[in-house]
Amino acid sequence: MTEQYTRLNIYKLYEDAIRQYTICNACRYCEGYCPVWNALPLRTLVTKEDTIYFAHLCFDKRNCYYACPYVSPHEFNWNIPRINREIRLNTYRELLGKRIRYSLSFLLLLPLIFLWIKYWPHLAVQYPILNFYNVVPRDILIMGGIIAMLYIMLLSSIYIYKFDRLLNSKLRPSLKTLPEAITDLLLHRWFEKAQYPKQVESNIRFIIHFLIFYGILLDTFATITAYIQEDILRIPSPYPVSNPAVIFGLTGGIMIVVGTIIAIVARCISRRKQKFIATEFIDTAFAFILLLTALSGLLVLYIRIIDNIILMNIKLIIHYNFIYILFFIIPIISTAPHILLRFYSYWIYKTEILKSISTSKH
Amino acid sequence: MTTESFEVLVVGGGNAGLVAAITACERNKSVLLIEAAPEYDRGGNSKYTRDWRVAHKAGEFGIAEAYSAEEFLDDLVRVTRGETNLHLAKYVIERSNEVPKWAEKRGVKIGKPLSGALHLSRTNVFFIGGGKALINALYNYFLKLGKTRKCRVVYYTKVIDIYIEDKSFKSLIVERENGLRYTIHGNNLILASGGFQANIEILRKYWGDAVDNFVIRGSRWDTGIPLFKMIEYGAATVGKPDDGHMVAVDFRSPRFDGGIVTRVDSIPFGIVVNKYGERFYDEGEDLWPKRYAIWGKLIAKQPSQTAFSIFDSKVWGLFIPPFQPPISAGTIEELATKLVNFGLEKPDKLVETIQEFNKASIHNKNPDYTTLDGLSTRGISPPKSNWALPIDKPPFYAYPLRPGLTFTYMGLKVDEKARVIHINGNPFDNIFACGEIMSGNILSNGYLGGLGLVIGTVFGWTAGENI
Repeated sequence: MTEQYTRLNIYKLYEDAIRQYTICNACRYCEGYCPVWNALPLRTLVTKEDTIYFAHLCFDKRNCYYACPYVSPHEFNWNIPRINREIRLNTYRELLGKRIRYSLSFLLLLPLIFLWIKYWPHLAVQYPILNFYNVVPRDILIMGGIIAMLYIMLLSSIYIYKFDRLLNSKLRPSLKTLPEAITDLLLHRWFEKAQYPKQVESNIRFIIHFLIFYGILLDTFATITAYIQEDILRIPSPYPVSNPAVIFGLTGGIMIVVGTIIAIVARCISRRKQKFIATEFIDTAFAFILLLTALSGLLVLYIRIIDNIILMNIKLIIHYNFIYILFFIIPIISTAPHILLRFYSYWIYKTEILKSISTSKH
Repeated sequence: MTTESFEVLVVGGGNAGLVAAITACERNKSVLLIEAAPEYDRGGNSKYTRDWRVAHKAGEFGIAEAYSAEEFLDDLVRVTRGETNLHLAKYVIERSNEVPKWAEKRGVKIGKPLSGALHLSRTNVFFIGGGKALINALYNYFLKLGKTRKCRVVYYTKVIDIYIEDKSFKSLIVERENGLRYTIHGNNLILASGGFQANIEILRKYWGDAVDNFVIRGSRWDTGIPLFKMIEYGAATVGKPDDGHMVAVDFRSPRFDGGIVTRVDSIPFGIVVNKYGERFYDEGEDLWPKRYAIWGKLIAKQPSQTAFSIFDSKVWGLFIPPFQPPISAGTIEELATKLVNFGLEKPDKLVETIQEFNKASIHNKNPDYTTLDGLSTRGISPPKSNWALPIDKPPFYAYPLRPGLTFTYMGLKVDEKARVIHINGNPFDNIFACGEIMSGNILSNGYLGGLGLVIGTVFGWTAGENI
């Protein structure tokens, strides 16, 4: 179990994945654990494209690992959770080359450096009125927001387009299954009773993913709500603590902080107790930046309440910087397209299951 | 360990042993469970199970149709051709209904029938994750009990000898992983150590050197030492020593512990030849779920215990393939040449056999594999009574076959209290048996999916209740 699948033997990675999934297809005892094991019996022969599809359907619950009689030291040396992770990482690399990802991020850091140089003097000035836009001009914030949105949309389209070509699936995801696919994922249907971070079943995976996912979503809502009030309803900021923008922001921030801390602790436990599986659910760097961003946001709020304007300015700048970094580090974080690829493969899965039910009825 | 004494010693940490240990522990007995395998390989043959056969009413366990105790018994009598202890069989069937409920309360998760095992969906209840998940749940439960009671497990510890005085159990000698031996005293002994499929030397006594060509699908830890020690002490046996559950498996399977994935299910979809390229048995005699269990022994009787299942592209996808892809080729001749590597001695004869078979299998109807469709060969011997179709659509495929032994049938005779019976007819005072070591009382001929595990659970309870 010491073998590492490096970029040099990718061929071997897929060859081994096909070998292991062929063993699974002759057994099928894990059916019911997760979508991977429900999708596998729908095919007789496993192809490389299938293994990529399965890898992105995998929620890394690890129940299959503990249920499998063929794990090392058995000569079959079965370890699908691990191989799924390797395939996921390899997919991310294949979808967008390292050089492109790094140059994109570097290009996007340039405006940040520019802003830093230009607005550096403002930091030291004490403003009489508490106004965010005195710290960083409003147009720049809005411009930044628009660039970030366009950037994310562009990246997402590239990822989905390339992923679809990689899967080479004959199956088109059907609009009929779209609502159910979205609901399942939003409700975190497959996360419960995972054997993570130890062999004992727990809902820790569920809690972590739920807190971080909805924390980010709430903070996004907070930003949109603030934008609507400021720009469309013309209610000037700052808003009181009872304002929806602040409530969303505060709740989301706390959820992210708690979620990422549990995630980092669980990771440490898993690394000790599940070394043999050696998989990771989320990029460590990503978890830390998320944590810092959320913490800086909460600090801004706290400082505003205690009314320290000088500190406020500095903290606000720091918070904006973290958000900026968060957005533009995305291409470097290997797991960034995770949400898109998970959604797309799960949508295909839902379609596949629907089709198999309707054919078995005929 | 040398100084400690327990009220109950359980030998064997598979399903039956765990059930007995849990039952005894729940009744506040001190229990030591002795498992021969290291922790990672614990659970014996129970690792390879996936379901219980359960008598039930319509709607129970999410199964729409009922499976009555009478029908269950009929099925059992049919497969064993009447070689069953009716009294014990009825007892097991009667209590089978409680098995899933008991297990579910102790952490086992009930699931839907697996695709590919749909023929069992009316009679059997499936658990998610298969046998190892079942075993893990029961171990976790037992170890949790051990936090407040005196219930322990020792792994990697095999029984070397049993001390019995006057039909009364006194102590065990065990050997630990490091080679050190210990004596353990106990008031009661429950034997749940399975069959002896992994004891090649004893198998050789009954099968001769053919055993070297056997694949042992079952656990490598079932060496049957407690079974043979008890026979030395005069315990009565059931079941033939040279018999076991044996199916056709892939030639390329590991020697031990290949489990479920080694089984080859392509046989009714084509033909089977021996190493001389000749057919030797009707591949379409009956529906496959009723026939797969005879093919291990059929192959064991062929020269070099070698055979080949041959089929073509028409049927690919109709059965669950084993853990390795088949050997494939564009022509029959090429396929025959490739099979020489797996012991085919007369490739020319194989080509000839297929030509003859194809001539005898011309029909203008489509086969129906779900029933006996009567599409039989004409004028060849042995016939293929159903689903006989020419093997003519390339690419052509073959699985090289070997007999795969899952477990042996010979075991200890017991009474309805799970007590081991002496050859003089009286039971030993405090020695009980449950699981595969005694399943021969009920099932010593043929095979009924999901029954073995139910025997283990019911007799595990019985042993645990009667100490």
